[in-house]
Amino acid sequence: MAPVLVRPRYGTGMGAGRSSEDVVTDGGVTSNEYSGSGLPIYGGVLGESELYYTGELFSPLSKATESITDVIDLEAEKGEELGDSWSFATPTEKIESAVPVISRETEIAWVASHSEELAQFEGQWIVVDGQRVVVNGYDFAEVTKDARSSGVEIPYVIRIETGEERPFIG
Amino acid sequence: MNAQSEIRLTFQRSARFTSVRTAQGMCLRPILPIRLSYGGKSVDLNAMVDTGADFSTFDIRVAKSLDIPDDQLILDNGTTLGGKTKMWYCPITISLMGKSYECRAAFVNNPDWLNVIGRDTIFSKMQFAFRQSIRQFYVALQP
Repeated sequence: MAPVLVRPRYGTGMGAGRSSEDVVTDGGVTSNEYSGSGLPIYGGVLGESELYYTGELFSPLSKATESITDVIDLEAEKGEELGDSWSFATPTEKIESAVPVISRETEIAWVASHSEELAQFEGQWIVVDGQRVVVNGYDFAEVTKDARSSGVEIPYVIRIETGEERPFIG
Repeated sequence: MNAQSEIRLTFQRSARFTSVRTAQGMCLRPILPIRLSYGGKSVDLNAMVDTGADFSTFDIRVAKSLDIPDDQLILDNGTTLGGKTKMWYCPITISLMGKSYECRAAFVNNPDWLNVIGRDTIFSKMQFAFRQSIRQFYVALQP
């Protein structure tokens, strides 16, 4: 069955307290179940909810159990959003992001497993694309510029810690 | 209903604190990958959720990497522990956990600045809870 775009609803029913995130379902099995192996989860933070995958950092807490007919309710959440309290800001939530979705699972896993190799870049920014370091350097802007010149459209920039970072206190 | 069940009903995602070695010993930071976008450009980076920050704040070189024109960066002051600090403000799109929001980001001229996710807009759209004792924090994708 082709994936169907649905959105769990707010309210007091089955979907109460669940996400307003769009969820892709396949034959009534919600996407959260794809990562419901019980294993730890990596990132996916940049991507769509259905792309949360098993790894180390992130895991779905609630396993969506709604049937497709229960959760297809695109109108239910209207009026539920709270406005921002900042008077000078006019926030607009984009339900569908114009930003292309790129999972960083590969990069996060690769960086985590190559800490010794990456130690040579201590204190530097590196752009990781898949399982390789594309560019490195101390200037964030230069690093991203070089990465784009190398064909990386959206650089994933990570700072390699020095091993003795300064505490951050705002 | 026990506490864990309540958390499961409210928060859809959990994340692990990132352990960082500092000169003062190990510390744990709630860090998430995010995407910043302006115009047609985007950059992905890691940022720490900072409930004490009014705005999501980055080094000014991050703004340059997004090609934000100088005339779109509004110079104003901000307060850090170092006192009054020059900051440049600009609305950008911040994406995390599959959601995108227009946020007023602040940029500081400090290459050592730690990227932080501040409260502006994002905290009105998402919920965060921290349980550092078990190195977990939680994110709800609704207000």
